[in-house]
Amino acid sequence: MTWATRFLFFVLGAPLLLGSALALAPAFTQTSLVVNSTGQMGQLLPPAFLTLLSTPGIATSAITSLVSGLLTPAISLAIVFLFLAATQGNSIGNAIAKLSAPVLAIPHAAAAFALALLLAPSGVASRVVASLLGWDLPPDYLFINDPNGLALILGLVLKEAPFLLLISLAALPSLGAPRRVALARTLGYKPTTAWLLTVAPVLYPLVRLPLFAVIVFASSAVDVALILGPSLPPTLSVRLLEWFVAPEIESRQLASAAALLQLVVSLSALGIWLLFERVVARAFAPLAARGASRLSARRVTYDTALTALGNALLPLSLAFILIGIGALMLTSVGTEWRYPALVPSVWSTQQWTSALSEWRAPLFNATMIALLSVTAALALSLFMLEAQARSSVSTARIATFLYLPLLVPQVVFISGIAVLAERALLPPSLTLVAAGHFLFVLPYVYLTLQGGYARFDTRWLMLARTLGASNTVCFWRIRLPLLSTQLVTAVMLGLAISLSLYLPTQILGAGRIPTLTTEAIALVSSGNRSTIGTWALLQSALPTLCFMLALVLPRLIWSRRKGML
Amino acid sequence: MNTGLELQDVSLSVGSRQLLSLSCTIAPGEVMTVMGASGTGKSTLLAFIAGFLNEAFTAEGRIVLENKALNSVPAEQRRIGLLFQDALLFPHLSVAENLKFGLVRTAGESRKDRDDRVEQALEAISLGGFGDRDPASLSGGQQSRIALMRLLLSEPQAILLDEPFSNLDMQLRGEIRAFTFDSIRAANIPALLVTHDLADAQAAGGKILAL
Repeated sequence: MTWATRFLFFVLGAPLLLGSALALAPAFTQTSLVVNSTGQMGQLLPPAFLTLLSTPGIATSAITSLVSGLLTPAISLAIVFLFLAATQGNSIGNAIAKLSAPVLAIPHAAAAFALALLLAPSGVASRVVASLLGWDLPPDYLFINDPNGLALILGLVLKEAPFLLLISLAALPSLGAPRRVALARTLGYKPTTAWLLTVAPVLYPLVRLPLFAVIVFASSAVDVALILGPSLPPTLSVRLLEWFVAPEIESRQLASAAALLQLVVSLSALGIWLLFERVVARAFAPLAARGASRLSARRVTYDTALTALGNALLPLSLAFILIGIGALMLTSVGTEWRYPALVPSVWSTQQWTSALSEWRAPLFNATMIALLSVTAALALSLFMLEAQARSSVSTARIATFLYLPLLVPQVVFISGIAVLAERALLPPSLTLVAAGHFLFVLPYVYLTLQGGYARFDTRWLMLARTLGASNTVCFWRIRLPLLSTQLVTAVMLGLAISLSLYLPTQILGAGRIPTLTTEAIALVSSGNRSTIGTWALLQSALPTLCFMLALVLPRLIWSRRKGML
Repeated sequence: MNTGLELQDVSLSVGSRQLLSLSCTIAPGEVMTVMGASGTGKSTLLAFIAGFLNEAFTAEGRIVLENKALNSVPAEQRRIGLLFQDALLFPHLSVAENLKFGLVRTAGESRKDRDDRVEQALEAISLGGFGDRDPASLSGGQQSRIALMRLLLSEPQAILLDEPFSNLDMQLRGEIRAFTFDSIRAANIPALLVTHDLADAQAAGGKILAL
């Protein structure tokens, strides 16, 4: 291990360990003498845990989080793999895959608002049905904030499926999928089945780590849960946040005990997933070994059904978000929108003009935090990668380590870091929030650039050196320009992620550093659709711009250098 | 007095397996050829001489150029030029910028003087006025000539050729090969050619060493 690697381990590992430790510590400290009347249990567990376990609905909260942590990755992965199996790189599939990139740019919160507006009883979907069937009143169902957390899971799936799709598309070219499918087809398998039997098993290991990140995120997400999740009781992560920000010391201890429970829930979700993996692997081998039966009509029906699902589900989930965003636009300019009308009856730009007078500070804060965290992540990533490239050490294992901040529930270690900052008498500031964002931006920036470094043709550097250029000159005049596309992608991805982060901003900023994201989510309880629409769109605008720039900038910069595109 | 490139008791090995061992002297203007199938350590030999030997290999022996031992000199100070299979014109630079990248600075030379030298070099390879062009817009033959000119402008004291003609089609191959060897002879620089094509070796006209 080089010193550069050790440094990276420290920069990521220390806040994670220290943050988690400090988040969990208060639960184990007894600040007051509690007289125990509950018998043996009381002597075994610190009082904060007893309080937590006797909190009404805590088991329901934990189970909702656990179920969301398991169903979200399972459904997302199924949608993505079926889509890839059904389309197999055909032109329609490619066009849809391109559409998923801008959906990835839309922040979780805005996507959740969009879904709510689409599927609520008086939402757009219900209005379409109403105008067809002649309803006058919205139907009576509870979908958004439903007690089973189905809306929460759907909201998460809509965002995580495009993420897994992008990861899969990046990994696929190295697998020789067309050859594998062709071979299986000559053995008598239908195309979709052939893909699922021959490509899926080799693709899965390559998306496993990102998938684990999805499991942890889905079992502990706060922003989506606030908007779409159940409210009586809310998910464990939401309750944890509520307790953490409450002023009483007892609720801090409760939050700490809840952080431990959250850790247990997220780790259980991972553990159950690992078991699930084994079961599927066991079931898979005999399935493939059974052989293709050319004449079996049932097999053909299965394949047709899988193909249809694959073709339908992912486009449908993209459509949900895009139509929802359209609805957000309508609602942001409509002051009166009676059910079941499809468009508002009274239009006004009042929401925008009043929002525009309030968005300056949040926009400034969000931009500064994003720029600070991305600059730091970019500098550190380049420094590490360059050091490793020169010492010719393999960097494969570091990638696994970089996923750590994504594999520990944010709400746990970020609240610990906030405690650490309080103890060190660091007031909430842009820099502190940016430091928190840095931990989430770094993995993506580093992994994007690492891909560029790994594919870099070292002959360029050899050539430059034999022409008299030193290592430093090579870095600035050869390495960076040749990596410019990856640099732009890394920066824009980092900015988009930072601009969308809710929890680190809210906790480390102690609610005093408003950004577009925190302001949008703060409107949840207001119930004012118009205002929510305006802010959700404002919140989406910058990340979307970043993704567009990532596509357009390299073409602009290198319009006169075809070899760079 | 240019004494050429000397390899004294050079031996390369990976782990305990020896790849090759050789001693030789390449006179100025001579193009010596090393031939051998892949896996015999041809490219490793070039990497060793140029100063890029991977840590996985161990090397013994001395590289002497102009009576100086080069073993501990960094690659960029060895004044040994490299020519690869592909022209490898830097895609982010114009043709003129590619040539200027290696152009040796002379004291008191103005920017205009350098531009003039680059333009003269382009005219010498019948590509006058091509300075502002995007390398990607040029033909394979034009790219090869510019790559060689870029190498020569860096005023190397020895040249290493790593199968430089194997990606060219038959017609272009003879033409570029003759142009390259003529230029090396005219510049009176020792060169080491690595190839698996006997025709290349014969055209080089120097010693041939089979691995």
